[in-house]
Amino acid sequence: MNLPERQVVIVGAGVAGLAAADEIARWGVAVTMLEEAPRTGGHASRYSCKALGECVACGACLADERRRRVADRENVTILAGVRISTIENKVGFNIHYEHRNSQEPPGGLKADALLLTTGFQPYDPSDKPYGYRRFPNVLTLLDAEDRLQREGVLTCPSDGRPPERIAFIQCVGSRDSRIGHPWCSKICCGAALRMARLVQYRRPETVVTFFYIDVQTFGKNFQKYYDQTRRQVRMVRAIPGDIVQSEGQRLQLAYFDPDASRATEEPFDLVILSAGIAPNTDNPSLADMLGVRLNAAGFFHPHESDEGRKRSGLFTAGAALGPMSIAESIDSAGKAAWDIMNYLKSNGLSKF
Amino acid sequence: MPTQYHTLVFGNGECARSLAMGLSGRGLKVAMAVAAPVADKLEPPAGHGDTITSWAGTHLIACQGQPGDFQLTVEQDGRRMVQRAGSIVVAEQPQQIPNFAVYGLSSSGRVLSISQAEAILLDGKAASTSGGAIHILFLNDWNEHCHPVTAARMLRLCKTVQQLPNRHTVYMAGHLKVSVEGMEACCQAAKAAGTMFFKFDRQRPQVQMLPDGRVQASCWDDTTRITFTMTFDYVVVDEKITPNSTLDHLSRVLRLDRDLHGFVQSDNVQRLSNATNRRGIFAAGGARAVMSPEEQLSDAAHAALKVSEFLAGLDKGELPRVEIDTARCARCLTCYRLCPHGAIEMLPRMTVMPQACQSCGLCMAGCPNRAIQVHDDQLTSALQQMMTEEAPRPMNGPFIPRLVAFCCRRSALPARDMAVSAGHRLPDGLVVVEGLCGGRFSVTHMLSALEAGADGVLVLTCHPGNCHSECGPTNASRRVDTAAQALALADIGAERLHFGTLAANMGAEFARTVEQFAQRIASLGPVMSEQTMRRS
Ligand code: SF4
Ligand code: SF4
Ligand code: SF4
Ligand code: SF4
Repeated sequence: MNLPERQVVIVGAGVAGLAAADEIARWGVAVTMLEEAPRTGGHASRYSCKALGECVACGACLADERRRRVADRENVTILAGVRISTIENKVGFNIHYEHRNSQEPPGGLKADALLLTTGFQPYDPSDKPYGYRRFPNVLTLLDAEDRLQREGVLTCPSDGRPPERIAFIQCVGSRDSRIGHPWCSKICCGAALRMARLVQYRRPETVVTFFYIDVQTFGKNFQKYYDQTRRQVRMVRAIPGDIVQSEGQRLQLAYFDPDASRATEEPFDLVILSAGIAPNTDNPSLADMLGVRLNAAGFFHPHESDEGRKRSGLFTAGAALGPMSIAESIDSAGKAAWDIMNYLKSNGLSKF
Repeated sequence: MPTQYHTLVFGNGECARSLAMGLSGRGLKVAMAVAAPVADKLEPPAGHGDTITSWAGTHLIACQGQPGDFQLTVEQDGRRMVQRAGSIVVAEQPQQIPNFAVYGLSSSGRVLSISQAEAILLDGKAASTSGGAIHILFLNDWNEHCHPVTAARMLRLCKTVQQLPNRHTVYMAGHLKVSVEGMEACCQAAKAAGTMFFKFDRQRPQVQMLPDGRVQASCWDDTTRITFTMTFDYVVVDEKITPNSTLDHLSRVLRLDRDLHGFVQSDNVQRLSNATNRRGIFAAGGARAVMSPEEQLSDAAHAALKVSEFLAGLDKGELPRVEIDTARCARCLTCYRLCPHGAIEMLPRMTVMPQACQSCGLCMAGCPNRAIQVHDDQLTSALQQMMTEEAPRPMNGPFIPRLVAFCCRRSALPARDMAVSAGHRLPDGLVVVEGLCGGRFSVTHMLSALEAGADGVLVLTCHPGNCHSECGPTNASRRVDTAAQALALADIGAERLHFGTLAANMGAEFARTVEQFAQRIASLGPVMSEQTMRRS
């Protein structure tokens, strides 16, 4: 079969994939992006702007900008809603894919270089004792982002009213060896606190309680932002034991109060779980097709590592390598773009 | 290119060297300059002797010219020379300052910084485990927050030491910064090996140096509600990573913005990853932020790509030309001060350097003599069209206000597009006029829109801190205030002007802002009737 030849194929059109496509396509290289979801942008584009009058450097608008730039590039083809069925590793890669929700016939591509930017899978907290999927007013941070983006304000799913009292629970599905996730997801402290601050900025009477183990640094201006945050958000160093739903959809949250040194309960209107970053569930099958191994956590090894170097022409960037913020994903994509351009050049495949 | 070097790199650390090698690998001529007088470390990287030149003991005196051809006056051994370079990268290594004082301690043979402690361990001395038990205290992330890159070094060392026989470690931290890969697992391994972790928010431990040189720490434990007092043979304290001291001088000569810590590059996501406020000048690695060694190398690669893009002319699209009419210019220097991109030079006439100019129009909007013109046809024609077109005003039926929204092309305009594609209905009488930056709209623009029959004018820019031109929103908001004062003289209320900030991804907010404004203007009625009312 004669497959259309593309120089670079990027698997996953989230922020890392888009940023890399933008960089590589500038040099006139033909790029095709394969994306499972019906649209590009990935998880990064689900985040809303968290500016409090001033930008707080969350990076969400950068993801959006990359998406617009790539859409304008003539030498980038985007195939959305497709799933890779096989990859033949020859010289380069022969990639076959199917359309997920349409009758279109399967297709194939030949690539000189393959970039994996498959991102992450948000942890599903259904197994945690927090009533996720059972109580309407228990959301993950990304669920809350979706609501915020759709409606412009954050409201309780049960009745559409703005919540008076919100609890954030951190490290849900992260830093947890019992479920085999002995890593910090890195982005959720920043994402949750920015969300908390935005809600209060728009509706100052909202009472926010933040349940945490440790607060991770985010942004260059962390100290100042965090000092302000501590004055507005009630910080409680405890991870709640469970949540039960009482009358009127109120959520009763049980935790060990570190100040009083005793177990206590408290009602909330809305609980937001900082569900962690887990490896993309497609990683094992992709790794299998490509003949590479994943790291212990289930993410890909960097392409410059011993394991990553095993397959020449294969590159990885973004959260496919592990938890990363939007800005870090863009950095990682830039590095991968540089490596890919050098690879194409050294193989006489592109001027650079 | 008629220049001696394609790129001049300031710095000589891993990041700078890797960057120089990357560029040299593409056949570009690179010079590396360092302030330090140590000549022996300045051998060009092996295999790159032909394309990489390095100068030690350099001091930058001046930088002239423009992107693609910078002329740098450099002093070396008391000699001045002018070097020409197409692009510049600032990649100076940061400095590590031990936090002894932060914990009320002073440096001694038993009170060590993390760098000292690492060196001792690598030396093998601490690893020799003969003799009795040794108790070591790690102090991290209290009084001042610690960057995770340094916290990772503390945690790794703590775990390594704890795993040696006869070593007992206690780790006291405000927060365990575990966001670096592998650190949560490292903490768990240390804990499993016997490290005691103490964390605290309000009540901080008391540490003091005993006469015999050892250190005593008393610490209130939140969970057990007990005060522990322990004596340690050694204490390891964390470090603060600060910008290289040469950045002060470099950024002044190169006219580069810095963040609040002094790193080159303002804390503005528009600069990510390696851009500075000046085209053709880049920041990499530890010169722009705190980074781990791996991140610095990765950043060197990204910066090399950005430099290559710039040198190939792939970084800049077609932009409108900006010109100063020297006949009108009074040389007040307002534009020189306003230009965020260092694109205006006195040669000795005020001149816009075309390669450096980003066409943001900030200079134009601020020039008191209207001596600057931005050849931005879109804006001009949109305004002209407004001036000539008669406002559609149905004789009967409800009053539909005519609104002009001056929108920044990087923020409010994409937000408008997002609103439209998400199905939001925008007010009927809305006319959007786009400019490359919100700071490009002058008081004259706003007033002429009203003169042309608008009932209300919005100026919508990006959020402060997110502006590609750094000060677009501040300038725009100031101009809206000035325009409001002018309106008052004509008996028109300031409510007809609205200044707002939006990010490019705020479609719903764009729709809400214009809708609320439309309602406000609808209730005010046409300008004429308001004037008549106020005057009578
Ligand atoms: S970086 Fe975040 S806070 Fe800043 S403007 Fe963009 S989306 Fe808004
Ligand atoms: S970033 Fe914060 S919430 Fe997320 S896993 Fe790490 S410590 Fe927990
Ligand atoms: S602001 Fe106008 S008058 Fe002043 S120096 Fe610049 S061009 Fe000349
Ligand atoms: S348009 Fe902007 S970048 Fe160009 S000279 Fe004026 S202020 Fe500087």
